[in-house]
Amino acid sequence: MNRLDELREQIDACRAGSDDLSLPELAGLAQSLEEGDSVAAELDRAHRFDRSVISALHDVPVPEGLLQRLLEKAAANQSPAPAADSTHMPSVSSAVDLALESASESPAAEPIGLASPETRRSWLWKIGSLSAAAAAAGIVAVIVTFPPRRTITQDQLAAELPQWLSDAASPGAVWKPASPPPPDFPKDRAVWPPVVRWRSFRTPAGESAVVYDVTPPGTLGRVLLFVVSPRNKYAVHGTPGIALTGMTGGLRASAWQRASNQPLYVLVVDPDGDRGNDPKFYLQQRPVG
Amino acid sequence: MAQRLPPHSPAADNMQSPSGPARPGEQATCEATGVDLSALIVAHHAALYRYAYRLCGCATEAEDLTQQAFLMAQRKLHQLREADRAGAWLFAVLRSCFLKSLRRQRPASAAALNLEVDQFAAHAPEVEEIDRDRLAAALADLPEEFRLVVLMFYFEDLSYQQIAEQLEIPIGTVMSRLSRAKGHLRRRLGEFEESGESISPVLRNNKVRAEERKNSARLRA
Repeated sequence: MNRLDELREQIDACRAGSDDLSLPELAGLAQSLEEGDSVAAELDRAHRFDRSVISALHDVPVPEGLLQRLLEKAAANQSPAPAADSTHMPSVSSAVDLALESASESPAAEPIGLASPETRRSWLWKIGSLSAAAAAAGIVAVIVTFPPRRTITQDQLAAELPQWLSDAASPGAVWKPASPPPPDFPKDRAVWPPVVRWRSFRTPAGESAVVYDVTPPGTLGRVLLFVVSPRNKYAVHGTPGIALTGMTGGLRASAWQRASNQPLYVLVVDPDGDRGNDPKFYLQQRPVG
Repeated sequence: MAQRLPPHSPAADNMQSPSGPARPGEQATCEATGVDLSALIVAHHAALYRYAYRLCGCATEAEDLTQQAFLMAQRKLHQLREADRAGAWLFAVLRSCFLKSLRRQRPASAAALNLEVDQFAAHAPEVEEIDRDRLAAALADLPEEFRLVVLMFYFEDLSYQQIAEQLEIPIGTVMSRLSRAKGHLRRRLGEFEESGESISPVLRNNKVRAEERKNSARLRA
């Protein structure tokens, strides 16, 4: 049995782009990678195969109307809305209504000049109600200015990408030279081509982002890496290399976010008429660690 | 050197396995996270369906399984502690539904399905794009316990450690099943690469030897 056969289980257990090599059961593999190139080559080949399998696994058409049927089923099983009680959090609009109703209510007013406890309570009540109304209005303003976080699916992201390209990388866009790149938007180590130029932009959802042009010399079309400081939740993979489904217009892309507090990365290949390379071509084969 | 991963699954940190008695007609919003069930359905139904399809191998069963998963999620929504982990949690719910359905069926023996585990592809085949129908056929060959492990690895991006914790089986068992299942996929998909003929001389030789062994066994029987 040769060395590769001995390490086969460990090679198969090691996920591409992960820290699995630090796990105790893969210590033999980690050591072998330092000793020679044959194991590394086989690991690279295995990871390329894994990526192909993952892409194919996700290539399943979703039945028409599935979403509607699921939503209807969920609605049919939903319990009645709970009765309003002290534990039920009112919506913002109901809080505003409540506050405004409270502000409009007032106990019977005392004649002016009489400083009775009832008069003081009446004024305190009015002040408190007006404050509540102002606070509720402030909450509404905050929600309008900073809309609630929403979840963006891969299909939604794929549908938005042409707009990203149009906003960020139009022919007339002004770019900055490669260095220094903005520190808050680091280029993912898995993307091997160097940065040619970059520019800032905002996604349609208002998120701060940077787009790096990483098109290698001599490449037809362009290769762009979007780095987004996400305010929304993107339902993407945690490692790079898996093709984004639902892409149109000849574009190919891969999107990933290694952790919820890390940037969102979207690698886009715009082939400009030619078939262009798969985004996997522009990603490191060896696990980064 | 990269830091060691924690010894437990991050998914298990942030959720409970769907268990315990179901309470019918749960509310549609999780009070702890503010997550709304309909938003979860919109965001994750496609990924969940695709996973279900790969687990079941059948579109009708996959839709049923997806329905069951969201119904269970509706009942267990209060167990979701972090909105960020909703996707991973839903995958675990789906997997739980699938395993329950498996227990209701007669278990199949791995030996009966003739998983030729000693016929590993020596090298992973160089395949740019894998045909999804051929992948489906290759997956269908696998016993459920092998298919589940390899799908958890590929679909849920779980490490072998996390798979062992989720399924409550030894790490060695997971690594063995994973390697055998992936070896089977390599062999089947590598064989399909060029007109059903393997591009690897090792695979071609293995195939010839396997055929010879089958013929011998048939003759001895």
